[in-house]
Amino acid sequence: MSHEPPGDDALLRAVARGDSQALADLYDRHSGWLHARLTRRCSDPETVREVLQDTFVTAWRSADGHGGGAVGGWLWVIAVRRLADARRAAARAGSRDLLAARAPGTAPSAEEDVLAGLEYGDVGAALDRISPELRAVLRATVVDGLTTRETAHLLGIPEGTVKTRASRARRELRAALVALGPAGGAAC
Amino acid sequence: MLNRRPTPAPRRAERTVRHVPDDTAAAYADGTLADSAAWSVDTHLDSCTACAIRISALVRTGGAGPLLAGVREAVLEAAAAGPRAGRTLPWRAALQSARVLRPAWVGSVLLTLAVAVALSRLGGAPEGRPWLLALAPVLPPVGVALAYGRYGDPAHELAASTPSGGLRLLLTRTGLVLAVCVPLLSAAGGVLAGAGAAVAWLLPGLVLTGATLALGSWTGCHRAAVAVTAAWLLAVALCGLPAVAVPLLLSPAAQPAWAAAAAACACLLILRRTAFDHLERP
Repeated sequence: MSHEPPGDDALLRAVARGDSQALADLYDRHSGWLHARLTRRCSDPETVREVLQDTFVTAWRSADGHGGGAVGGWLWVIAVRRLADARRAAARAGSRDLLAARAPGTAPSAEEDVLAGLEYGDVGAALDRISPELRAVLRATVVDGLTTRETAHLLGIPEGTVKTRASRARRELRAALVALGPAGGAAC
Repeated sequence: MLNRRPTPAPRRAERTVRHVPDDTAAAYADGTLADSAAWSVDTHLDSCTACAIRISALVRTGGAGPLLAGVREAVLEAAAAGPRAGRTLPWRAALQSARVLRPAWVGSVLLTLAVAVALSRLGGAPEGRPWLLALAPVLPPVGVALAYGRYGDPAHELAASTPSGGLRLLLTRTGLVLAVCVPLLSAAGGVLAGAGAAVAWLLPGLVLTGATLALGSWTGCHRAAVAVTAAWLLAVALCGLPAVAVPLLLSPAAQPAWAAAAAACACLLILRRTAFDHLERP
């Protein structure tokens, strides 16, 4: 099912040695899904293009700084931070129109539960019930692993708003889970 | 830094859901997958190369194909043009970063020299020397503030978000500033006052630079430079202007105290090193 010729780690080591063919291979492996994932978070194709390009140029320059761990996750962290930076720069330049998704607020403590529950559909259904802007906050902090500050930049809202919306998202998620609960009120 | 992301131990999702099903992968690739299902794919892709390759291939054959090909070309071009940071020759990197030295600052260094020399010409050597030595220690901190940070460096955001940004970059630029300051000011001091006095400002200059960096870890370099410069000028004024202050503050007897202060600044800077990994607050 999974055949991985040289393996991502070996590829990245080659990139770190300055092998541009390895960079091309790395790009072919990961650029597609990175593009799809970025596009879900940013509706402006030009920004996505720039972020994608920045991501691989950064990977080329700092491949030897990769401290182990999954290469896909490493690339995504670079990409999503670049995206947050790009949003922040755009917000500063006054192009607020780029900030399509406006949602803050996340509960770090809910993180593992959400990730663990995604496969079962219960949390999935609960997520579908909460408002899109709260969902965007959860995605930034839970799935993308951004800090409050980075989330604020990504979504174009103040940090304080991120925090309040985070706790709201947590409350709503909990309420939605309770409403969906198979046993009604399984607690107690 | 870059791998700070929480990539926790095996989650339930990874144990039970082996790989992304074909129809889900196709929906993810064309952007039509529902949010909650897409999040599962997101987290799976962080660690699964096989699915990453499959989905990337699907995206490439879709509408984003031409864009991906264009970016690929641009990335490879950038890689061919710019050597990797680790392989950049040191003198080359220094030359490249020399561009951050503001003409205004280099001008102010030269102006200080010119004024000091002019004063000594007009009123005899004793006039120019104290002024030169009183102003010399604040020139490096001012240069550092102009070469790094939100207000000085146009590429500041880029610098702060790259792995080699932060303290390493700040120290590189500080070194560059000192490389310009030290020879010029020492040479002028030597001309005006003889070899011994020419280097009297060096340690205080280092201390003020170190204090700017250390204080800058809390306040940002520009504010720190303003505060440190003001404190120094105030001290000079309180001691009774350069003619009195310079012999006092820069005397050989004071040098051990300056050396101790320099060491203290270095220790503080080491303790605060991680503070430079983030963007300065506005």
